[in-house]
Amino acid sequence: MSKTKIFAPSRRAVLQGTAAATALSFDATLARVFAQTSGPIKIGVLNTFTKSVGLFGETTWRGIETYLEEHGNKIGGRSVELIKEDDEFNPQVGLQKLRKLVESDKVHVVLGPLGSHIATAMIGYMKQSGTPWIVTGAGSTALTKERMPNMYRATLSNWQVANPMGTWEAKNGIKDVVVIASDFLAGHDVAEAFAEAFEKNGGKIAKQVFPPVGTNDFSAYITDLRSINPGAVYGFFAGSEAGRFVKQFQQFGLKGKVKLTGFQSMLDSDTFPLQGSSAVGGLSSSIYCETLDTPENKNLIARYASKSKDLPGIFTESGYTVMRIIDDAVKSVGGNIENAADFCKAIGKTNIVAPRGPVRFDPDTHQAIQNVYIREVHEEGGKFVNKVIDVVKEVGDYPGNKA
Amino acid sequence: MDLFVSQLLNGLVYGLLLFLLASGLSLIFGLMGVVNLAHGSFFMLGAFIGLSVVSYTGSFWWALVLAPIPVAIAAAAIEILLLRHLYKRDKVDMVLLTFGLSFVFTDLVEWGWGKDTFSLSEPASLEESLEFLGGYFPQYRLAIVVFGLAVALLLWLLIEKTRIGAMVRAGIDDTRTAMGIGLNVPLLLTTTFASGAALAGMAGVVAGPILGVYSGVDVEVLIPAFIVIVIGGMGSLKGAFVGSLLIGIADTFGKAYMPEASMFLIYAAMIVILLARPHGLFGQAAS
Amino acid sequence: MGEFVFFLLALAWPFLAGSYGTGLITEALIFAIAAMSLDLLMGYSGLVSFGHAAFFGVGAYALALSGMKLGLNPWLGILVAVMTSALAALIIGYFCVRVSGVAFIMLTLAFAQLLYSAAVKWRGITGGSDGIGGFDRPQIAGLSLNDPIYMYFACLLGFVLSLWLLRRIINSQFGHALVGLRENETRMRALGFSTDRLKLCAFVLSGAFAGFAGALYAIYNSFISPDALSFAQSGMFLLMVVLGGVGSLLGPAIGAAIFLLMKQFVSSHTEHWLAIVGIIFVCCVMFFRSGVYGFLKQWLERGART
Repeated sequence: MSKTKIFAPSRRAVLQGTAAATALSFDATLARVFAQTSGPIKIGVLNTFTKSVGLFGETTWRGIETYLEEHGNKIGGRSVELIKEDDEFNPQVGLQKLRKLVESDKVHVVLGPLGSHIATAMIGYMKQSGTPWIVTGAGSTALTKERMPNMYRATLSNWQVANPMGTWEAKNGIKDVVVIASDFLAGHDVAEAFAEAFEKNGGKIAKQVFPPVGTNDFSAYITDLRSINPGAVYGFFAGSEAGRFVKQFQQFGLKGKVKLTGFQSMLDSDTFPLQGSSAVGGLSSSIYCETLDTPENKNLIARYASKSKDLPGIFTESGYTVMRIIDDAVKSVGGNIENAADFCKAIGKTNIVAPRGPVRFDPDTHQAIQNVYIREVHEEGGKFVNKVIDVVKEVGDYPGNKA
Repeated sequence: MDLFVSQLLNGLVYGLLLFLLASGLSLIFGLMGVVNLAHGSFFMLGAFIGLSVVSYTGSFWWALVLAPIPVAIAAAAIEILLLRHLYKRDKVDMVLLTFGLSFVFTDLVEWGWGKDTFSLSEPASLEESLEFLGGYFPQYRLAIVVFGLAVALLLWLLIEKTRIGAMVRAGIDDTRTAMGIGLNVPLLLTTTFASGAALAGMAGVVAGPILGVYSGVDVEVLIPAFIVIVIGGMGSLKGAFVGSLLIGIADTFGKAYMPEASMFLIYAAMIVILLARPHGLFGQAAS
Repeated sequence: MGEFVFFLLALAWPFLAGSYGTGLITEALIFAIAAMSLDLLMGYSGLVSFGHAAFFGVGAYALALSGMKLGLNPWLGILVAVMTSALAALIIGYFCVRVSGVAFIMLTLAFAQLLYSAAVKWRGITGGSDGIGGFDRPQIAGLSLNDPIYMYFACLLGFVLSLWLLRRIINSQFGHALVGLRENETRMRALGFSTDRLKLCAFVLSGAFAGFAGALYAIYNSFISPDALSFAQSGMFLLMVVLGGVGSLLGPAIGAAIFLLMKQFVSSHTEHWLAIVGIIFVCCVMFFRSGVYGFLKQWLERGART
């Protein structure tokens, strides 16, 4: 796809700049570091920018841009070159683009992907290449079981978000649930994690269904749901599928009879434009909520306003926060992102308060430890927003990944 | 019982949407012997043009009326400029040609409208849901059932009771004889190809609120439409109708009650019919 | 002569191109084998398959599963993959060769879709739509295929071997009989050939080579997912064959390379690479049945004459 140069000064200008810096400081080590580290920091953004989930790639991208604009297009004192590649939500294409980023563009760090199936495909290659890799988006629970030294996940793990919701629903008066989830890795992850917690706390799973990826028309499933008539439905869909499911759920008259609950992506600011008022009252769990009343989140909202009329969603926040993580790590290694091992260790020491709340990494699995918010959809002056109704603090990785 | 009726209705909705696509595909095959792999592209193009019409006029109805016109023009151009020159060659060449065209159309659509998934809103007058049999059913979906049945009836009258229909039937039976009795066969072929495409374009608009509008929807609908005409019999309107309803209903019940095996069973049915009755349930052995 | 120069270039390539260029041509070689295998059907037997990805995918899954579930050595795994694909082609071909033309197209498509939906749904074995990943590339005599240069040479060897074998097949009596079948089936039957059996043989051979390519692809990516069995993948093979030139063996191989390079380089400059491929494809169908290869050959021969 297209190469986007946010800020790419001529090579000479950078060299002159570094020469000036070394002349001023008499620190020999600093001079050595700068000598190795001329040129911009190259960040490969491998995400899905097309298909039914293309919006998520786009909003992640805007989050990355928001951070860079806020910080004068510099990270750890160095200019940044972003290279954007679209994996078309297809693992084969993803691998082709990944090879291009690592071998041809020689990026210093890879961000992405969105799809768990693409992340799975990337593991073998990334283990060999050793290029620092920060996962943004892909939630596959098993991904962090790999314990790759060069991989960190700055976003959610499916288990991390779905499991607390199972507990919460069981403890808040919901007795039986039908789980309906997209038939791919993430859907099965989420269904399993939710069901485990829900049943452990006394709830009953009435049925689990897995419509194929790319299902547009949910009428058959929703009619079946009506015949079971459970206390709640717990859904996992993303993008336009989530939009359509929630809308059809209302059209077939289930809203108000069966409680609508789901994974983060079911009821998010990204999907509200497709869902409209059909989303109101829906409950979901997520690592982020656009109406969080913290200074960090207010700052993001204010900066994002120049890019979009919508509030930032989870992916915008992820793009923004992952750049913060890189920025801090680059600074702590004195700008020398070229030393991949040190850079990766520095990422592991992340301890920040992001717009979503506190973020640090599990030292074993490299999964981000973060808050999980239980949210409810509200209508406010013609706009739809999520509001936090409960918080589960500092949720870590799936315990099975640590064994 | 009411659930059974509801699922049946869901199946009818999907089946009749398929019929709008499969009827054209089937007639084109009957007349020209070409499996039109660009037929899904006509569907997709119609949906996107409909999207633009809605955004300019604000009216779904205008989209329904206007969107098929450019699709038909594009199809006529393809028939006159490209397909016509291949009639004397192996039929497979025509299939390959339409296959190549489907790529061009995909790109054209992505160029014009981008790669996002859009949603076409149903007309405001049909937004509500009707309450009956102890549940709700969206009005728009009921309207699709009525519309689909009406189109089927009109097509049947057109083919069986009019002069044009007689020509089409003669052409399907034997193109050479049709030419011998003085029919303008080239015109007939162009008209059929364009009309089939227009029908597909219209189907794209009708399906927009349910299936969404995105690049890639062409393959999603084309493969089920193939299954329909294989089962119903290529070249037969009746076959397309019965096949569409069978697939629509089987798919809906399969999703609800055998979600693990439903697609698998439909492909298996397609294979069995291709082998046991290569001309489908209603096809003619001559094709 | 031209082929010799080509071969020398292929030998020197990894030392000229760097690891990215080497990987790119490795992939092109793998797809070239698959495209040539389809050409055996399309170009020499007149059977247009819209489901060729089925055998490519079966080979890839067979390699992945024989390694992961049975613990087989990947070299043995390639053998298993070729045999599994051949077996799948035997079963599917048994039904498909009974029909011809458009019905053959539909039937191959239906079988491929059947396998595709099985791969998506049979999660326990295939990993569902997410596929199977993370298996290691094999070693030979201490040389690990993790090194892109060894991987490249392994695929080059596979390609040359396939080309040589396919040429021998085509130039054999069997090959001549296939061409006769394409030209005039009735005549061949009158001459006493069992045409169905001939077609089935071609189908099985073609499937075996596609499976070989699939196995290499699984090794190359250390990953396999149902996308390798999809309609889009079948269509891609078809594009490669027609683009390069039906019935010339080397043509489809060139078609595969052109297709991949276009995807990599044209897609960096314009979003409309698909339309360009589509238009070239349409032109090939309409005017240049001998494809890019035939066009180049004609052009070179004319140049040699003047």
